[in-house]
Amino acid sequence: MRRKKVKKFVKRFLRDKRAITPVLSHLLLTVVAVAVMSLATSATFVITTNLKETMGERVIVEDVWFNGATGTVDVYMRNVGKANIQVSGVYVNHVGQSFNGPFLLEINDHGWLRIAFSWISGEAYYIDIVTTRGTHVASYYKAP
Amino acid sequence: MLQAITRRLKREKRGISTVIVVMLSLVLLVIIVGNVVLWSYQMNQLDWEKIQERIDVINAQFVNETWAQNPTAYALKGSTSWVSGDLLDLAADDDVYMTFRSYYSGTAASYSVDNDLSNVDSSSDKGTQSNFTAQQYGPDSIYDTLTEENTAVASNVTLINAESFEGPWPPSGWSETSAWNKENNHAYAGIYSADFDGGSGLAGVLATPDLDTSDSAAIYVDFWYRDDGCESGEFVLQYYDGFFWDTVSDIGATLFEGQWLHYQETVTDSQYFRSDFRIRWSTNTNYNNDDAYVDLVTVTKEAGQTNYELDLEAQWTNVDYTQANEELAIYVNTGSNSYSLDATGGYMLVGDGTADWGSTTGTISFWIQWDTVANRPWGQHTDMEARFSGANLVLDWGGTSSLTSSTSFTAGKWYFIAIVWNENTNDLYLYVGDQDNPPSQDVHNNAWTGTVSTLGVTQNNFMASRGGLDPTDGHGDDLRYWNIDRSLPEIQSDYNTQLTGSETNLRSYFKLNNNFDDVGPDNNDGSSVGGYSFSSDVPFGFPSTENLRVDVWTGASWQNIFTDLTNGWNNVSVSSYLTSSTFTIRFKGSAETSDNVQDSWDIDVALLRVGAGEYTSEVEFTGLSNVEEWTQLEWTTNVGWTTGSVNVTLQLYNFTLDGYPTSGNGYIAYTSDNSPNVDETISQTIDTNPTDFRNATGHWKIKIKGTKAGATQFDLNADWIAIREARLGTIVTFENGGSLTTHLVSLWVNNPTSHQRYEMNFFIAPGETTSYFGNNIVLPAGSYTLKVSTERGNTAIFSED
Repeated sequence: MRRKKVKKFVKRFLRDKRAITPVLSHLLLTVVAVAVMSLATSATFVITTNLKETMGERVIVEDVWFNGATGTVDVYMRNVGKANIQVSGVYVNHVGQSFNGPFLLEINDHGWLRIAFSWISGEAYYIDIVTTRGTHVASYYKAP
Repeated sequence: MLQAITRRLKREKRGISTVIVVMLSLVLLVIIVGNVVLWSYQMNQLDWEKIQERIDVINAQFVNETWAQNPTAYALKGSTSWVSGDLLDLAADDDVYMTFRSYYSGTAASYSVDNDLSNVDSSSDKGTQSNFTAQQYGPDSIYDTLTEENTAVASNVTLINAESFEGPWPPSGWSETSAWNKENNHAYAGIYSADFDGGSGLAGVLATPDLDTSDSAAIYVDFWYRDDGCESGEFVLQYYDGFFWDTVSDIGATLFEGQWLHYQETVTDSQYFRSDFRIRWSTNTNYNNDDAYVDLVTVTKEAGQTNYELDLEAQWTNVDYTQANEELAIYVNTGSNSYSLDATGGYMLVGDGTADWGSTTGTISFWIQWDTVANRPWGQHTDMEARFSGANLVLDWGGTSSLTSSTSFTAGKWYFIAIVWNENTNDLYLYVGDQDNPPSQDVHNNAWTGTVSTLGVTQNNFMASRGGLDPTDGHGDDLRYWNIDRSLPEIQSDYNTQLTGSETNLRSYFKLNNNFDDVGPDNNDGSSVGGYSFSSDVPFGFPSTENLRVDVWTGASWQNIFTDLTNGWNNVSVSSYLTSSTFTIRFKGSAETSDNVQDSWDIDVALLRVGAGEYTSEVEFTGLSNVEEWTQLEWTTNVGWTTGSVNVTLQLYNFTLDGYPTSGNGYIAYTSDNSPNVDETISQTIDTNPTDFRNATGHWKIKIKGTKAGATQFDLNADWIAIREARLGTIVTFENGGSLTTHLVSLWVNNPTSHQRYEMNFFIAPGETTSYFGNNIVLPAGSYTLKVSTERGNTAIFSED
């Protein structure tokens, strides 16, 4: 009984006048479309994630201490944004300075950023702290 | 419309790929745009909120507050016993001590005393024992009371020696009225006799001088008399009792008239043992030929000499005598109940009268000796009082006549009375005991439906009721109020023992030892109203004035090992005397000659301990502090030990952990100095969670425990115990002028040499001005800047120059 059914199917398939090419072409086109859209989706995810992190960066300076004992400028920073941050550069009066890098702050984290800079009492300094995503935290601070 | 789309799709020659591309593109577009828009909105919201925030620092003030306390109560742990001193002695390091005696905590074998039947010295016992069995168990506050016996031998003293009226009339010191005279018409001895010649209804008396019979055990009266014609009642013999002349014999009623008769009497009635005892012969309405004669009067007293002695043996018969450590241990209650309240129309006010003893469950007990069985011994309300109905005590307890005693009380006898109630179980008990019998249930109402917990107080009085109503006449002592319904065994365990006042659930305790102090935790010190005094007549625990010695029998003689047994445990090594399985001691009074005071001592238990020994003294002190926000706690003890090298642990109760710490904060362990009696000050400062060491009401507990191996009992001398709390920090006042709740997360205190950050977690509602206490935040001297940061990233600054 089962053998009869298989025979019948093969006979019908061989008698069919339509070609197999259109079927294959549709299938291939579908696969290509899905692949392209997957790439597009991934790219969208990457783009939106970066965009969100860049938009979500908020970091504040709680305190700036012109530390006479160490001769450094100590900046206490707190991450109040929605993304982790990393300080990529510190500029005092637009001149890059070395600091205790890598300086990473997770969300709600806080800590001292120690800038190796010989400050002079009574002088005002423009301190610009830049994150890896390009966010700037900058202001004037006067040494006591 | 759906049909139209479907048709169009069917007709469309382009494949499904186009549809997928279009759909996915749309979805991606929506996702990208939505994500960016939403995120942008969220961050803008954050920025907007930050802009809206308005926080200001109004003020900053440094706070440095300290408090210190000493213990207000103590509890003895194990079998530690109190020796001397009180809690006031712990207030300063001044070498004035509160002393506690250690108890045996070792593992040596104990041998209870076996019998009191021995007579190793062939000398009979002197004194009495109330209950020798009590010495075999304990300490359990059940005592064998040793009482001295009067061993003095009486001797006769002649007060009137054969007075035959031969000399001047009347004889020296004698008195007479009317027709009494000396005459020689009749005489039994010599020439004269005292004679009363009747007339027209004459009456008169012949009386001896005052005779001091106050120390007598008996008075011997001896005289001769002659009745010539007197009728009954016309010639009588009378004795003076201090108030009245009592007729003791109608000697004129004799049928043997006209002859000398001999009168002899031994007087033992103590009412005539007085310093002004007198004898008189009284004649009444005697007519002619009614004559009376008295001759050869001799009065002798048996001198009531007293000498109280105690000499009672106690013996062990099967003791292991092979061990190195052998110790005799005797627990004694020397008694400290020196006074009772003698109310004579007056009464006692409990506290200021408002002390409310109407708890849901409770026990009120007291000792009382009525001079007159009447009126009301205690009461605070018309429905919470005790009163008399005849000789029976009636309790109005949450109503009228809630319970009536089955005991008919009599005057002149000390009674112990305990009233116990429980509103939850509807039980009301009356327990009654006396000096000779422990309290037992007198009557019980198990369907008592009264309520006393909501009555309130009219006035709380002892020896009267509610505002001084019906003061009772008599002595009252040892008034106690417990806020639990004590069981009969509990009551029996301490009814005749003075308490410390710090027993669990004991709220008020009036010892009435010459004052109205409440030594219980309620501290409702009382006062008197009306006539009263303090009397040395007490129902139990009268302190002995004489030392009680203990001697050990060496086989040939007695050797003294205790010169005076003191309150609590008395321990001494007897290794040099315990050389056989039989061991004999004797209790001996220290004053054995001319001792006019009959003393007694309560022995709780007598033991021999054989083997490894250890002693422990453990006391828990409690005090009351406050519920302020402490930042630091320092606890200090200054104690000494009467032996060296005691292993000491000091513990401060941690209420958060609900136990005494065994390490870290709240725990100190050390070995005391090698030398005895060296006071050592030990303290610990706790900076971390100091409030863990108090409860919700500010109470704290310190436990001191000292242990030492060996056979030497020692004392703990507590000189100073204190706890000191500090609240160190800064109060910063903030004002939130914005429209959003602000969360403060950090506080900075800056000066040129220091930038110090403190974590915060403090919320301020919009428009609110509030203060924040920063633990251990120290504001520097000189100028400084105080800065606060919010969670949103804003900052407020406060400067002080």
